[in-house]
Amino acid sequence: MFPVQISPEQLSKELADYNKQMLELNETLGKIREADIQYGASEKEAIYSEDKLTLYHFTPLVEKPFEIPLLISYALVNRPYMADLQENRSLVRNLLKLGLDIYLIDWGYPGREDRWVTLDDYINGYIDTCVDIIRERHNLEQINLLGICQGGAFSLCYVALHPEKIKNLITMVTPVDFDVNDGLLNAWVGCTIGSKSLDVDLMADALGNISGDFMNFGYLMLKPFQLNFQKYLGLLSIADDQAKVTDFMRMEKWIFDSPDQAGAAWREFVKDFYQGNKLIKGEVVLGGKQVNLKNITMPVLNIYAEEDHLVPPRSSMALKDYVGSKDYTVSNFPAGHIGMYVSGKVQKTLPPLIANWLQERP
Amino acid sequence: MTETKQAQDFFADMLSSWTDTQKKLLETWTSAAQNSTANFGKQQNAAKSWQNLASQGFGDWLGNAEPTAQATSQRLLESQAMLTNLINFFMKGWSEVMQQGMAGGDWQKAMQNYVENFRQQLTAQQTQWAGLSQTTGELWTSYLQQVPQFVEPWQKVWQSSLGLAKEAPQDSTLLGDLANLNWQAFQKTFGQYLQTPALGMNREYDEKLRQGFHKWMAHEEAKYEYQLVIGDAWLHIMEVLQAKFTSLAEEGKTITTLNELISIWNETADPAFLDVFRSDKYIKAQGKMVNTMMAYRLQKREFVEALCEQYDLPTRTEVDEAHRRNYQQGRAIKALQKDLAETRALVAELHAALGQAPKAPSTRKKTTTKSNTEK
Repeated sequence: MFPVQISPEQLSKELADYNKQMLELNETLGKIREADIQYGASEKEAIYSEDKLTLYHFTPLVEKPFEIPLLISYALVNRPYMADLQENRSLVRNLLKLGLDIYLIDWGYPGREDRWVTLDDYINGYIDTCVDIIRERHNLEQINLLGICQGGAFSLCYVALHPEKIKNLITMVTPVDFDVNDGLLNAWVGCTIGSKSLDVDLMADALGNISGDFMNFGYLMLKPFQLNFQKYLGLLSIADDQAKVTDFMRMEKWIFDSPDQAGAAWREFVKDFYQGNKLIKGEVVLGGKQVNLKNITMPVLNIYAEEDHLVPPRSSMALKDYVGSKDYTVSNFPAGHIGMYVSGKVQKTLPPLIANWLQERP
Repeated sequence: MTETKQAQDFFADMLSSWTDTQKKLLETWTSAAQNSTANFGKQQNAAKSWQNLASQGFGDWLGNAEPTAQATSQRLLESQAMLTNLINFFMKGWSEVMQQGMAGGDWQKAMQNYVENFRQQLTAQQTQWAGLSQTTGELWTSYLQQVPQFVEPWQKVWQSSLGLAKEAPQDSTLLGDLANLNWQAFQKTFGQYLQTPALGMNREYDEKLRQGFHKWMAHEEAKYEYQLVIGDAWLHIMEVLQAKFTSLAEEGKTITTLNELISIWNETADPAFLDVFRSDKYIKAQGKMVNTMMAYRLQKREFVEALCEQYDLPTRTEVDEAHRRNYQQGRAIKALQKDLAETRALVAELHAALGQAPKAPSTRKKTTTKSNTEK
């Protein structure tokens, strides 16, 4: 027997319910204002800016925070406030409650005039300047560094070149070995067939900066039905819950608020990291110096997401084989790339893991 | 009543329910939207009208809503449209399959036939493209229809400045003139002509135009190949669904709600797409499409910049070059500032070591003295 046996009555009922939900959702959406969905739950102060970059210091939530502050270096491809999305979904807030003293680099929105900014500028320039400013503010030789996703890859390069300035390094959902075809993104960007999948030079020459919308389109195509269709139909099931719809909308805002990528830096990152897999080969050169991951000898905490479709677990796990650190800890969570920050379950255990690990290494 | 007739009646009832439901929904939306300022057009197709009405309703109600709410509602409407299309696909596209199923007939063979028909349509499209590429004249015409879109602001000015206005055909421009001049040569010696350098005053523009044609052709071909690979992905989804339904049937399980059917679709569609997306064939097709798009974009820019230069207008390339020099100078200044700061720190340390207070940096402005030779 053909397994589809939907009665006409059932079909009518479901369509009617569906439309009722559409009406409810329509009403709910009309009540939500842009001010309701701004992200950034924690109070912070801009303490330095250079070009498009701003360095923020979060207001501590304890009387005596940890002595050694933590600098967060996020990816360029999204705004960094996924780590501080909303009050009940904020890695930053949870870390502040546990006593950490936190700084965050906001890369800003590159314009056409930034098309020539290179990875050397980002890593040996901006990150190094931010590290020096924090060291000076706290009168310290070394600080702690947390790199997230592409920001983690940047952090690895930075620490390999300036190991004397970093006390402890944490990498989160960070790609290390890019030649893993578990990840569709890796394959599309050329980890298997190089420029035939994407002629990076041609694209950078043609576009200048790579638009955030173009990047988003690529991400959406990684799961076309789930991210373009199912997600929005799922919204109907919470149509009458304004709080949940507001949370959804806030996430939507973050997802599509993607900065353009500075052409030169993007060109280098895709060619050298994705297509050339030069990070683990020790062939990345920044400011005339070779990045050797073996120079990373301070304690390292490497965190990855088991269901990460953007940075495959195997890509992150590879770090163990390339750093020179003898104090290497790895931890994994049953979440996706974004779920690491928005999953309530993960946020119960991830912040204490980071805080305890740092506290054991003062 | 025979089983076939029973199946047909059942199916007719389903379609009728679908239509009736749409009508009821239309009434609901009509009544609700009449309280707003919605403007209704003629209703023709019930499902389509529902869609339009939803868009209008959303547009009216969210007219003053915030940007993210509007954007999300737009995506919701698009997913709603996809749902409508999916339901239509299940209802109409598989009508024979479902009728066979209801009547206890060989629905699996019907489904197999459906998938095979789909595959043949894809193959037919490929043959069609191969035939199209023979008519180079038509392709050249299509390309020239594209060109005005990116040179339109300039072509009239260029035309008049070169004194060609009175000679130009009614709907063509200098570009059209060039096309006409080249027409016969292209038709007779297409491939050879493209290899031959152009002649005359308009040589550079002519050459850019023809290079643009190369790039445009390459991109059109790449787009088409990509669509065929996407078609393969859809075919794969059909095959996986077929296997899924067969498996359910063998287990004696049934799908009794639309939600279940949509869930099975969601569980099937993305993994099936990803199977294709991972393949070298897809990656190469996607890469070719993107790469040819970029090459064509660059060629278009070259052509437009050649026109801009005629009128002393700054070009993208020039502005980018200005930004690049600015960036390099900024970098040099930052490096100097860093060196200066380090040097000052070193000097301060030395002074401290010698027990001396460090000398404050000079803040006096340097004054220039005019030379006697400037008189």
